[in-house]
Amino acid sequence: MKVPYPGAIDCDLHLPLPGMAQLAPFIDAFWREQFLTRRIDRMDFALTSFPARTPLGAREDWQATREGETPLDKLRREALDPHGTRIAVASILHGAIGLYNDDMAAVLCSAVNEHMARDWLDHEPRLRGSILVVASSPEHAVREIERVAPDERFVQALTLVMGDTLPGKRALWPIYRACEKRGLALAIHAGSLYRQAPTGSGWPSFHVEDYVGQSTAFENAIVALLAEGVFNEFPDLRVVCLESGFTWLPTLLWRLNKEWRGVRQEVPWLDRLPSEVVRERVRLTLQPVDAPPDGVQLRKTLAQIACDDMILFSTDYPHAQFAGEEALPDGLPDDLIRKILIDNPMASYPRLVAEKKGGRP
Amino acid sequence: MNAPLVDTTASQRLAFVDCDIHPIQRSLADLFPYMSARWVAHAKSIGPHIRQGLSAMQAHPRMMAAGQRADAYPERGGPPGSDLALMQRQHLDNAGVEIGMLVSLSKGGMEERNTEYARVLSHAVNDWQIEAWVRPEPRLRAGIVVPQEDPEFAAKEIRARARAIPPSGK
Repeated sequence: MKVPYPGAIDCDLHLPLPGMAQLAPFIDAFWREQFLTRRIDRMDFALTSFPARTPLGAREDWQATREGETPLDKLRREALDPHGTRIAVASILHGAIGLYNDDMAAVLCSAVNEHMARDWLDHEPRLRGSILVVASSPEHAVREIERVAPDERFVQALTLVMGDTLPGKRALWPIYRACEKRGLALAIHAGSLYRQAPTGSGWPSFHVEDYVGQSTAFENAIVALLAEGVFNEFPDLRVVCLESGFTWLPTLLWRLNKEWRGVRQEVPWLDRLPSEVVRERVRLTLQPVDAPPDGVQLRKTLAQIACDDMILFSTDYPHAQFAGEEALPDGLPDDLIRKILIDNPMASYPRLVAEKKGGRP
Repeated sequence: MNAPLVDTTASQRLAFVDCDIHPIQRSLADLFPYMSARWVAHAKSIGPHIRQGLSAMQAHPRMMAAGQRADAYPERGGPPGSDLALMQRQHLDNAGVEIGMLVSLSKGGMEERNTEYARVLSHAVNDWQIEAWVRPEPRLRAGIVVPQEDPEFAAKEIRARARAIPPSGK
C-alpha cells in the first residue's frame, strides 16, 4: 500500500555514486595527484555487492532522467515527494571502503562525506546523512566520525555487515565508542567487502545466494554484538540494520535465548534474555520486506517478533523493492504503520530524538 | 674481447619472440559478437560476479598510469592494449617483435563465480583473440584462457583450440 499520510521518515535511501570530478574539491593536492597519475580517477568504484544493472539494482522506471532535471530534482520526484517523506536518511555506498590501502580509503570516504554534506544536505533539508567509514581501520574511522560529527545532519556511521571483522569484535570498539559519544547510530548495511567467502562454507556461484545469505550475516552480527558485550560496554549505542529483512528475527531470538540458557556462564555479562536486549537496541529497516504478500502471515510474524518498536520505514531507493508508490506491505495494522513510519525512527536515532526535543544531541 | 653484441655482417639474425603481450577489450561489448544473445543479456544486466569487493577495479590500485605505460593509452580511448594499430606501431614494429604471444588476462572467466558464464567468457575471449588480433596481425599468437577451477570445460576448450589454431599461426 501507499504511505497513507505525510511525515514519514525514510531510513534507507541511496544517493548516486559520485564520480571523481565531484569528489576532487574535497581531496587534498597529494591525493588528487595520486588519483590522477595512477589513473584511479578513471575507475569505477562500484561494490560487488551492489551491481548497478541487475533488475533488482535499479528500477526500470527510475533509469531515465527528465530533461533539465538535476539529480536532486530526480531524487525529490522519485523518492521523497511520492511518499510525503519528511526526513530521509541517505547513504552513498561508495567502493572506497573496499580498498586495502586504509589511507587512500579514508581520504575517499572523507570526500564522499563532504560531497554528501555540500552537494546534497545543503540543498535539501529533508535529507540526513550517513558517515561512510573505513571499518577495517578503526583509527581512520574514529577520526572521520570525529571530523564529521559536529555537522548534526549526519545521524549515523555506516559499515557493511560483512567486512574484515565480525561486527562486535573488540578491534571495532573505538568506532562504537565514537558513535555512542557523538549520538550517532551504528548503521550496518547489507553487503560484503568479500574479504572472506560470504558463507561459512565457501563461495556461492550466484547473486541469489549472496542476497539470501545476507540475513545469516545479520544474524551473525547481532549475536556477535551481544556475545562480545558491545551492548553492555556502550549502553547508549543504537544499531540499525539496513536492508537486512526482518522475518528471520523470531527464530533467531528463540534460538538465541535457548542457547544462551545453556552456555550463559561463558558470557556472564549477558545477564538477561538476549531477546530483550535485541528488542531494545537493534532496529531493522522495512525494505526489502522478506515476507509473503499475504498480510495475515506478515501479522503473525510481527506478533512473533513481539515488539512494535523495531521496524523502521525505508524505501531502499533506488533498488527495486516495490512497484509504483506501494512502499508499505499490505496487512500492517494502522497503529503499527504509524510507528514504523514516524515514531520508531524518531525514537531510534539519538540525533532525531534530540532534534524532536529541540535540543542538541 | 670487445666483440660487438650484434654482428651486423652476419647473414642470419636472431628472431625476437615476446612471450607476454596483454591485449584487452575496449569494453566488454567487444566480446558480444562471440556470445549468444542469452549471455549478452546476462552480461548487460547481471554482469560479473567475482570474489572481491570491488567489481570493476583492483582493490589495490596500481601505481603510475594504473601500472601501464603512460604512452600506451590509445587516442581513441579504451585501456592500454586495446588498440591493435597502436600496439603494432609502438611495440611490434618499434621493438622488432617477430612473434608476439598474447596473454589475455581480462574477462576470460578466470575469476567469475558463475560457472556457465565463466565458460562463455573463456570461449569468447579465445574467439576474440583470433578474430581481433591474430587474423589481422600474423606476428601475434593467441594464448588459450580457461577457467582453471573448471577442468572438464578447460580441457575441452584446450583440445578444441589446439586443433583449430594452425601451428604456424598463419
